[in-house]
Amino acid sequence: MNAAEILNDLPSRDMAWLNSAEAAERLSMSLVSGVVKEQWKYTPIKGFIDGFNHLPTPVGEMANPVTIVIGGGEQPQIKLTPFSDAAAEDLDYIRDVLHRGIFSERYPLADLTALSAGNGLFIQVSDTPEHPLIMDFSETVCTPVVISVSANVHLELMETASAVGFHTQFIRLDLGEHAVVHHARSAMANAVGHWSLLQASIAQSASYFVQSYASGAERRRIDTQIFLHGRGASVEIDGAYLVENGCHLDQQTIIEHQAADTFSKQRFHGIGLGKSKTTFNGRIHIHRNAPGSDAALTNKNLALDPQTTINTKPELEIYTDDVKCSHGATVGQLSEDAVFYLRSRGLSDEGARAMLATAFLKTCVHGPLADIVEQRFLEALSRHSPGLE
Amino acid sequence: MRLLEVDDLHVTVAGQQILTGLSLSIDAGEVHAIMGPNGSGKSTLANVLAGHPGYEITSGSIRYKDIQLEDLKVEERAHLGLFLAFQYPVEIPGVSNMEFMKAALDAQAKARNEEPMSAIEFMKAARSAAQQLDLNPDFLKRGVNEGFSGGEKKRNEILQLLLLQPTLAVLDETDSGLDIDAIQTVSAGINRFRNADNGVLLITHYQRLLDYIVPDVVHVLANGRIIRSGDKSLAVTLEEKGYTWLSAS
Repeated sequence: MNAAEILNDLPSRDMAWLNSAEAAERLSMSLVSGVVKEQWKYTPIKGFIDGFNHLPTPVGEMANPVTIVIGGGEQPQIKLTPFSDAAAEDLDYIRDVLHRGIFSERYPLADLTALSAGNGLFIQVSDTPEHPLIMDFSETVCTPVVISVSANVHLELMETASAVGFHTQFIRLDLGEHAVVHHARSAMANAVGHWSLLQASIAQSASYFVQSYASGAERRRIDTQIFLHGRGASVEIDGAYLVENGCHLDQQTIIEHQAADTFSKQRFHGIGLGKSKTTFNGRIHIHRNAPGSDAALTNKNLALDPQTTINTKPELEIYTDDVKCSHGATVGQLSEDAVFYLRSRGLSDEGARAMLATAFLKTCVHGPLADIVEQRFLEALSRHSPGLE
Repeated sequence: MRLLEVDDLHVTVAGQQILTGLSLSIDAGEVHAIMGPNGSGKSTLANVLAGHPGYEITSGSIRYKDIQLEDLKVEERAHLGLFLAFQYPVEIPGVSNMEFMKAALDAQAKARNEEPMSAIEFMKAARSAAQQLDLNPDFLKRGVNEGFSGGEKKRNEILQLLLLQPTLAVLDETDSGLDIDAIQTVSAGINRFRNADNGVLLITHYQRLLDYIVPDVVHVLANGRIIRSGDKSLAVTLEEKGYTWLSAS
């Protein structure tokens, strides 16, 4: 079934936060555009589009599409509102940020997600909460979430995607001036199909720290787009991923340096095992009005099997002078000198290789999800090398 | 007790003959020093003893504790108490020194059917070894050799020696890159390790190290085999006259 047929089958809903006709038209156009073809080169988008045909329940008809836990119980600083219950001014805001950002030719699945969902969740963080905000995308549905973090607020955000059925999600996160957000996220369930988009807009002097962990799935695609639109805005992303035999993971990050003196640093380490397919595409776009930008991206990969496929592509687009920019991408194997060193101290060949592989990932793993993520990676490596302890 | 017996050893690396009939025997309680010009095969001998897969023994034999060494895997040699202090220790970001050493001790204990050292015992031993080498205890938490200076890397090798307590320690140019104070500290660590039941094979370019670690035998390696052996005075003579003295004599 193609997108047009799916659109025809969707129940007609009145969604104040979405211009449905425009979304449908944009979707039809974007699916045949060159941008989408290039961006979905290594992950056929058709598989995802087909998934929408098998969704059991539209999110609009579900009570709790996303499991939200606010540490320490309800906190007055955090307000949760379904889009359907949002006040007029909030609706204006939601519609504005979605239509200006997420709903674009670049992300056709966002339009499809929005049209299928029928509802979404608006989270406002007006003051620094005492405890973290925890979100789990646990249901086989399409879920839009908009999070607004006010100026000067500090927020700890934890996000997991535990659903194993087909699911899509997008998160739009706005950081006000001088806000600081630490966002730990993991997508490690072996889902039939999972697409997620994280889009964050960072205002002046605000800082966004992301720890992003992922496993391969039957089909998984993670898109990230960060707008550094205020002077001195910064983002740091540490990511680690492991893709097991038969699994697929495609990650695409875009950092938009739109203002002066903005800073971005991305470091991703990944491992491919067995006959797996991994893609990483990291684009840094320094706009004309962003002098003094400082951007760095490294993506290192280990292919631990001759049958492993890893594609990696760093991209730089720079439209101003006076910037500092670096990028690097590698795909390699474990250092045999390091294996020999560990074995010379008594570790078995398999044990040495597991220790080195785990260490390679661990350099990018920290924060509140570190323990569970490390455990998951170790379990996967053990499945790959049964002799491991 | 004879620890090591190397007999007429011939070794090639990438098809090139490096060792050309090297013979050497070390008994328990002895320290042997091997000196020799660059390219003479000193590090090749160290790597062959540890079982580096890049080195091929084309003839001759190595017996360690009366076991044919070339039949053993790298880790099996370690389990039997053979230790190589590397000339260029490898950096392993993401694995702390403590984690690495505990894993090594546990692997060796398991291979010997011994009880693993408890975490508390291990911590005490590790802290004590670090103190003996003038290393800050925080050093144990850092990634293995990650960002270490040349001197710190060498001290870390000796820290591992003190924790693993092998039977035969092969030290490959452990003194290179060390300042005078560090040589004294590292030498003191090696001297603490020495006892009547173990042996040390010290590979060095300089006689200076032998002022602190007094060897029982000094060998000169040239062109892939030992061309002269003697007591400590041989090292002093070499320092004065250079290796050309030997090739001329």
